[in-house]
Amino acid sequence: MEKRKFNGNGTANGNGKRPRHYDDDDEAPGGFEAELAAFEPNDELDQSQMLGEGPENQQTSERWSRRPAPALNPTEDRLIFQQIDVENYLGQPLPGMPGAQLGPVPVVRMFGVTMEGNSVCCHVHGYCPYFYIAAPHNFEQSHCAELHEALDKKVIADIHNNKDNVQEAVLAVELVQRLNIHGYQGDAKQSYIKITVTLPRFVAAASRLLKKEVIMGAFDFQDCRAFENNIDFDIRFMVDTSVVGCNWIELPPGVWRLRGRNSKPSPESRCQLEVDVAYDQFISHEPEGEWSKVAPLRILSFDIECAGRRGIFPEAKMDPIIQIANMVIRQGETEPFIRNVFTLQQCAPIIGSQVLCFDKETQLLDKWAAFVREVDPDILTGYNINNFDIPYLLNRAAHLKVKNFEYLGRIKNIRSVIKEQVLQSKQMGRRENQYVNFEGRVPFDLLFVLLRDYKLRSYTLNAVSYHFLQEQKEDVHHSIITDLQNGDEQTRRRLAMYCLKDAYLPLRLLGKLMAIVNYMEMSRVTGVPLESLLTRGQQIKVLSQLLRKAKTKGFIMPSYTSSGSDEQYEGATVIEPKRGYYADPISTLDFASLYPSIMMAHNLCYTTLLLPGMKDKLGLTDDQVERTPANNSFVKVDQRRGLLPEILESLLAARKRAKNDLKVEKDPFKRQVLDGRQLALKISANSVYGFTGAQVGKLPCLEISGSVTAYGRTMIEMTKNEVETHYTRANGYENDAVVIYGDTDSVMVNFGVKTLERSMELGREAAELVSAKFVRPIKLEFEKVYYPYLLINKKRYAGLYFTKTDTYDKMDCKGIETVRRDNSPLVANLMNTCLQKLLIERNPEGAVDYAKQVIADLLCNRIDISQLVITKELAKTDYAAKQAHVELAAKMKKRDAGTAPKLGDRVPYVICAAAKNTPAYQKAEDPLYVLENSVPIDANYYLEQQLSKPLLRIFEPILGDKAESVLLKGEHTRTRTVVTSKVGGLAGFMTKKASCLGCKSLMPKGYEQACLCPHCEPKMSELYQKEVAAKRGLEETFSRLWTECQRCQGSLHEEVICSNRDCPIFYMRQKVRMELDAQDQRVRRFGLPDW
Amino acid sequence: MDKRLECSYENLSSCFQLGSSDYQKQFCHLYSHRLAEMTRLLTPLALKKWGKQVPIMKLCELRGEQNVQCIIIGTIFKHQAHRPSILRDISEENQLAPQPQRQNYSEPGDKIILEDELQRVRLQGELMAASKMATGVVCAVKGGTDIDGFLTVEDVLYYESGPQKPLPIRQHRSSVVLVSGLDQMQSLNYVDALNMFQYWLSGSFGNKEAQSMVRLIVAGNSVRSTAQASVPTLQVARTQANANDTVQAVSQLDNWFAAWAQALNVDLMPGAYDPANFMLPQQPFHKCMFPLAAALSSFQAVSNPYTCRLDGALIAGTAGQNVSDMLRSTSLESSMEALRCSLTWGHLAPTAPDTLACYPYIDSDPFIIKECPHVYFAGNCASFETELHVGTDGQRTRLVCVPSFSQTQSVALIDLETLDCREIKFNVEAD
Repeated sequence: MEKRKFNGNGTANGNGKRPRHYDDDDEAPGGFEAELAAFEPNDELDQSQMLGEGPENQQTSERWSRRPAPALNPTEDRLIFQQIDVENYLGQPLPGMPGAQLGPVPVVRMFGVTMEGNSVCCHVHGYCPYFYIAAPHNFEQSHCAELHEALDKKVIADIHNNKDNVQEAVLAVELVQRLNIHGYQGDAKQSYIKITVTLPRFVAAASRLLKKEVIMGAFDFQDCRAFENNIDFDIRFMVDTSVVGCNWIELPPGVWRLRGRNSKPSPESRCQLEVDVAYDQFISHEPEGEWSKVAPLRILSFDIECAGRRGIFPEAKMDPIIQIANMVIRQGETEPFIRNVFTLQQCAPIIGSQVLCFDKETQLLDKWAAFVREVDPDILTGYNINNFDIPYLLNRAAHLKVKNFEYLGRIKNIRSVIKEQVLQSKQMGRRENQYVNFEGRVPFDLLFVLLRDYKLRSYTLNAVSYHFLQEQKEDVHHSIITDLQNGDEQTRRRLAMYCLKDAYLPLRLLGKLMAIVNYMEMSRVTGVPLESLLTRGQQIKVLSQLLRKAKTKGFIMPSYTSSGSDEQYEGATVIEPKRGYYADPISTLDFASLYPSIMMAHNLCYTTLLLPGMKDKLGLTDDQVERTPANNSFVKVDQRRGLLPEILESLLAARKRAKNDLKVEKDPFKRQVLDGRQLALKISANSVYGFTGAQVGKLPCLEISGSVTAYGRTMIEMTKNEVETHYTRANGYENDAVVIYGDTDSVMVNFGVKTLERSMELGREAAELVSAKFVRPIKLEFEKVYYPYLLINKKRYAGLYFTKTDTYDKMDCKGIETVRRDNSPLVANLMNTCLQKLLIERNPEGAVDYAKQVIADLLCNRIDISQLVITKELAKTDYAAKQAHVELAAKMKKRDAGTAPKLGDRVPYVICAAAKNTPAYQKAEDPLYVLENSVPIDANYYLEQQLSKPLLRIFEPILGDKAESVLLKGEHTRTRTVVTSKVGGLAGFMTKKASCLGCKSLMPKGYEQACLCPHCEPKMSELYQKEVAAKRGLEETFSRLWTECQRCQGSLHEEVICSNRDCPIFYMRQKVRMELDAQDQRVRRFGLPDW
Repeated sequence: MDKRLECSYENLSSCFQLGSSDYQKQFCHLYSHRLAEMTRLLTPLALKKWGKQVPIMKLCELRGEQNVQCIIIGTIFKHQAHRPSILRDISEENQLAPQPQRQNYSEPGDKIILEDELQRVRLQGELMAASKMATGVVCAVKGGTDIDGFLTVEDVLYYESGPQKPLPIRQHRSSVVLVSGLDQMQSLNYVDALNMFQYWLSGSFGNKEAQSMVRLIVAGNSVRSTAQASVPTLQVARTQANANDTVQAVSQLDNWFAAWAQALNVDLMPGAYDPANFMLPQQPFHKCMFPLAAALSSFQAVSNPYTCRLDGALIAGTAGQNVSDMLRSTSLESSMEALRCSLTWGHLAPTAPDTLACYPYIDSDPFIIKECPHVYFAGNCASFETELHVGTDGQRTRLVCVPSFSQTQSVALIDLETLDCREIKFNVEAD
């Protein structure tokens, strides 16, 4: 089933990277079936062995099950595993463990895998939640006991329904000396009350009660600020035990207990090894050196197919699941070791994959759940599984009342259930997602990864696989899926092949993008669990690092309630661009990691911020304090080294190390890990600044973020001045240097020299010259030369990017219409080609001619329709304003409810010609309908609404004011082809009369059957050859297109049924059919060659 | 002019003429029909060769068992990473660095896959060297599936073009002349050679063999022998303005043909770059293009491929697209080798429709060679090559790679009784 139920809009800000260009994989389309066949064989599976109900793990296949765990003796052996998930639950205290001895108590559960591939569940006991409040005046150690008792009572009384029979809520109250992280107050610590509670939920309760109610007569806690009462328990635990995401945990001999068949407590999980340990007894290894390795995690990728009804998006209550394809790979290996497909009804065998057929859907679902439990995957992946496959499976199983289906996680008695989750993030915008718990298994939806990390025109699996693998995927329309299912075992086999491919592609993409490795490194660097990287925003990562750092220095963090203030600080500066087309080399000077370096250079941190009045209060002198250009004050490094600069320093130092290791590392897999690591470190360093500026964050501090951008602005200005005053004719240089543009962290300089060599030489020199004027570690680097360079406007430019003198690295385009989805591909392609002609061929006339040619082609209806298709998602039908795609969807529904787009589908459309003043939303039409009925395209719309603005933008620097008249009003716009529609308007009144193929005139009497009028007859040979030549081109196109589809679908003898509208040749192949038939008729009018 | 011999002649190319056409159809029908027809032809041969011990099976009957000995009849699909792909050509990603057209895209990594009506299987074994195989060939393979899901091929059977009628015993000597690649657009460079060819045809040199020459077959690329430069635009197909010089060249050719047809019968086939349709079979030129020659009954335009029976000898051949396309996708070393393969495989154009454009037939495959020809030729080859091929059942076929006249200024002359063949050169400078 194609998943359309996601918000496939591009990410909101420019954070998306344009991915590198990937080499063609040798896996070409069409070979998939053979590819499957070429995998190693599967074990024969005796289906009868799969029988036996219940959520106990079944051992049915050696291939499916993990290798048995070795027999371990806790007193002699150590247990080492890589944890991938950390969570907590309420349990009973275990005798001999620290912490509260009366239940219930929170227990932390870590799930992981050993290097040998055995799964581990580790219960960590004795860790208790706590928070701080500022101690009221005169509060002494001796008051602690009283507060303890009073608060305990209040909290217990506050419990609405004490079904857990909680008898103890507050575990301890201590008076401790700590420093407030926010604002410099000297080194003298203050008194804080640390309140340790028994259960995580009492943190909120206790702090609320302290604020609201009178707890102790002698003290008023209502004005006492609470600290760190908004920190997740899991994060709290990880910080205090130095556990970072995906690191290695070692349980030394003698400190841990193994749960076995007869142990107490008995095993609760489906893991092979289940152990108990105290929170202060295990070793958490830093992910460095040997401990940067990765365990052979099991990754399960799956895809389901549903038999939908015509015209309705599948609903779990109505439409059966007919197939589930699964691929399981071990992290680090290249090919899946389990490949199978569960099918409803008999399905012909597939060599290289196991086919498991079931007569009943309930059986299929039941066995699939058993399969998941047996395979025991660590990571679940697929395409849009979070929002489609998993909820559908659970809902369907619930509807059919499949017993025990929902026990998919690693804890025996916990059901996987669907929850709605809203994620608000600056990076991603607001997203509503469904979330399902799989205790111990990490759902890792490939779609989420792509939405986060890549800005693409379309996020369907087809489009994505074409983008990254240069492979088209056969797309079977949902109406056909049901037909295939209702056919015979061969049609179901065809469907199974399709389903298997959909399960396999996510694995290949994850591998190609190194997503798992990169995310694992990110989680190690930032210290948060793997799963939260996909489900949460950037903030938690910085928070986790800040807490870790603060803890070692005795700082605690005030809890901040978002005031939702709109306080703004000034953003980055932009030097007004001197627009134009520069044929000379333009050197670019970049600040390396600008914002992190500013924070380090100027010691900007929560802990160094001088709040108003504090300077005098602490008696600081002017040279101990630095005033930022944003008028905030921070103490200098000799007073106190800030935490943020330290975090940044270690991040950047670690990145440097990783980059150095990368240089010497030969093993390709380790290289992947290192590369992922350095990338993760870079992203993390940059998100620290964002954390301080996030107004709805955990601890925003606009003094910091505002100062950072202010420094940035002054530095850009200063660089401009330095360069322009030093590089002058007066100082003996070729020309007066001019800074033509500067933005955030880079400055473009025109040194007025003609050669690449010289511009690079001056660039390097200037970078050193200016760097010397800045505080370490701020460094201006010379990176590249643009030659030539087209500067259109702020954040809009293009240039040929040189880092060495012999060849260019790439064509670099910023802010130019190449990826936006609400544009037709025509725009992107035209812009691309024009820029190539301008920059690579250095042929401005050629670019203008090309643009004119395309405009002429557009007006004469010679542009392929796939170039004109605009796509929008049908998110809801009741938009306030009328929208083209919504109107069209309604129109299509009237024509054929079966194939019309449904909610969540993406609607492709083209804009068609209509009577004057028809609103645009009424002019949208289905591209296929347009093709089949020769509906005329609204060329003017495309010219005026789509092409003109971007074209004028890139050509104005070259042609100046006359750009518009040259491009949009010239001779080439005078010839237009008017297409006569087969439908609508006057079509019904028209009669077709034969006309001469030569001069198009109406045939005179007596010539009605001929092809040429008497006047043109002498030129018959020439005119015939012309028609044949036209047919020739169409025949070639026809052959190439349809054989391509034949190959892509992986079968020669079966009809192509693919309806993948994302495929660039989908419309072409329809169009060429019609055109070829029409052209054939023209040729035939000359009569058959009769000899 | 001497009196020419009168010989029996029958044009057998009607199967290549398209009465009606329908481009709504896909190519799967052609493949399906080819497989069905070849299965019918191969089944008795397989039984004869391998006996009844080993069953002929369908892939879907294998049910994933291992080490089952069986015979499978199916279509070869060669998986090639560097096969030209229209998708790649129009890919946005690749626009910056357009892929250069590869002259040959056969690679050691190519994989051979056998596909029957429903399923596919990877083949392995020395007999199945990917370098010498082409997509679209139908064959019977004997072998067993192994644990890796491969089918290990122990023996292979091709149709080998079927039975052959014996050549009649005759009293006279008769021969046929094959010429190709006249390339009228370039003819200024070798107009002398063309004149000499004309004198030779008419026997003006006193050459006695002229009397026995009963027919001239012009095997394609008479107008031009290279592709027209195309204008790159956003569109894939762009109506190419038909250059006037092509029209002119056609009318010049008309003069030559009218002259030659005075001496002997002339059959004119279209070729890959001629102003004819693109897909195989290429349809005969229209009469209106050759008004002078068309007035003579001894001149006719024929299809490409072309088959006729001349003086009892079955002659079949193409303008060379089949051979050149096979050379592009395989590592076969010469046109001759490719031509031989085509005969052995029993198919005029196995790579059609995959990489060689052809009409989407729905209920026939006219390219299957059901009767073994006495002469099998391909036009527009780089140089003259010939070989007498003897089939398993003793069929004798004269294979001829007809050289391109524009490059070699030579033609091929074949004796229809002895099937002897030699190259006649008209290279003025060399003489």
